[in-house]
Amino acid sequence: MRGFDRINAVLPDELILEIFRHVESKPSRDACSLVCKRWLSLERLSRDTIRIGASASPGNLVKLLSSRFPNIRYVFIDERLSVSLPVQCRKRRRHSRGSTSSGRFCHGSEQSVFGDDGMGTGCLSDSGLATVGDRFVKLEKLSLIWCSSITDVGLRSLAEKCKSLRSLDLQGCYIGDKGLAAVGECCNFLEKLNLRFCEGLTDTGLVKLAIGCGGTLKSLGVAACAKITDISFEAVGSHCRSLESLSLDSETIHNKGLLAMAKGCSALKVLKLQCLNITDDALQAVGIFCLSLESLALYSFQKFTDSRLSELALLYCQRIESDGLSEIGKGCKFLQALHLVDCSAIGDDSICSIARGIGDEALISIGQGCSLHHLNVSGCHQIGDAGIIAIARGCPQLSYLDVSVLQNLGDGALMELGEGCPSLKDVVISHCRQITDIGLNHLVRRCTLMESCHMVYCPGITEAGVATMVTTCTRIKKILVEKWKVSARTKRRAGSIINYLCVDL
Amino acid sequence: MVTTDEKGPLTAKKKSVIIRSCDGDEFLVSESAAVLSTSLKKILEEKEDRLIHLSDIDNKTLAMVIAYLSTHADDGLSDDLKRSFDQEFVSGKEFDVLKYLVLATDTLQVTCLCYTVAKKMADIMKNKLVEWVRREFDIQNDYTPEAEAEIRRLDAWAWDDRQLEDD
Repeated sequence: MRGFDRINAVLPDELILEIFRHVESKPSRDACSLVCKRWLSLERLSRDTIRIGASASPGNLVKLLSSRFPNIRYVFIDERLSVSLPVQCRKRRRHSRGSTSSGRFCHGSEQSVFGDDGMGTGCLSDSGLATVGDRFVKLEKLSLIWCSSITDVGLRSLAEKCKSLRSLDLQGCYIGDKGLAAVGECCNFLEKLNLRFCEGLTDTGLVKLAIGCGGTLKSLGVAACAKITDISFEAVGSHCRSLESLSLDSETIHNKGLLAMAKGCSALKVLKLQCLNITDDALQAVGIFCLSLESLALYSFQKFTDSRLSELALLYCQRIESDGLSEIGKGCKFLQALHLVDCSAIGDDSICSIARGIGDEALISIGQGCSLHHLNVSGCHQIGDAGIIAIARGCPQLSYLDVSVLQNLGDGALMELGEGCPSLKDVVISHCRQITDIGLNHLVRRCTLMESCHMVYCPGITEAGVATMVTTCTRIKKILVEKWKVSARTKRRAGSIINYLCVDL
Repeated sequence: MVTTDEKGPLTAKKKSVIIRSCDGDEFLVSESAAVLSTSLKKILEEKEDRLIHLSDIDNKTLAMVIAYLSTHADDGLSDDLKRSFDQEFVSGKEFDVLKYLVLATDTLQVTCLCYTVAKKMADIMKNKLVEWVRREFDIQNDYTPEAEAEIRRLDAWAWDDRQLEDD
């Protein structure tokens, strides 16, 4: 290139800042600040995120960092993570040159400074939180994870300062109703709030928050808040009309609360529930009112019905009945991923119904097969060949299949999968005692895109089956199998991609 | 030499302008494409002259910017197609090419392309050593060894982000 060879001289500040804007990780940012003095000052101006760990004396660090980075908008303080950096000591040493009072911290071992922010602890205190509010007035996103020392007082002083806060994560903080009410009162742009494990909260706080800033709230997480009841979710239903995502883990919420929420929050897209006291009635309401729902995760449920799912995760739902799944099969034309783990009551009928229902829908509406891409039915003992064959015939785009621990699954199902699902990439057939080389051979002859296969504890699969897979599936990247089933020749061909669960098996 | 963009005869019928690079080569560009650059638009509004001379953009870089402008001026292309064109446009380009491109987009005030190129440069710079960055940008290290060591110490205030994921 002609004209210039020192591009730094012609690159305007704005361009460098624009590049920095896309450099997100701290190590890369640090590298930029080390390039030259000009880049250092630009980088300091443009840094918008800081993360602080527990033993880093957050209060002091906030002061230091706020003077260094004037435009911070995202602050993450996580007291579960401890950072012990020797540099902390050196930094203080440098810092203390002009201040004799802190000189005593410098002489001891490097560890001596940890946890010492003048408070005797490494936790963020209310005054530390107030500093965050004072110094970072442009704050938009704040995470205070398990900051056990902060109280309502600190939260209020922060809320009063940081009025443009959009996201607040208080996971595991022991804050109370007054603090949350202050957030509702002051933070009128709040969109995302995580209150998981805020055990000190009651309905009073959450109701005030909903009244205060419910209109803008899009995402809410509540877990292990024993004093939050249906009253809160009635308020959420009345005030949080834009809510798109709710994660709720509670033993104190009943149908009444969820029903009110569902009626009010019709924009809901993502719902994760782990609630012992919620039954089919409330979920039907979700199905009726929340027409935008894209993802529903249910944990520990008995019955459920819904109609516009794209992903469904049912983990360890021992009591789910086949009828419930049949309903989903009939209605869920958007279903793309299905995870059913250890749902031992689910039988062939319901799986047939899913495959049929989706297949029909798809044929009518888009003229190409079913949209199920992922299926995990690990440990669903009642599922046998008939159910999986229906999937094989109805879901040609299937790419991930976990049928491990299905005692009644035989070669017939594998043959049909080979015929019907040529896109299969990842297959887990471990602990399927009926499957033999015959089924496996059929599968791998057709499913040549296969990338990974887990097949330990399958007595019917031998050295020959493993060898065929290695030869046929040229894209295979990972095979999990017993070592004695791998011949010397196979090992030469594909030793690097074969993992042995246990050498002595 | 007059180089037409890929739609040559079609755009020639429309109003077009000639842009000359610092190498002296001339490019024929439809006015609808040229005005996507805020700088060119201003120039065209101010004077009747259909010949614009850009003294600090070379042939290779100018040709790339013009290809971008012409694609984005094409009403026949969907936004999706344009977006995938943008991705294609920067992928595989050398860092050296990108830094002159980003400079040209800044001179010509083509904001969208500027963002795309800056993003691509940032992606390449990810997890690179400071020595690499200095070399690629041809930047002289103006720190004393002591000053550099001090910055390194100051920067070590938090844990490595790469181990963490927000949300």
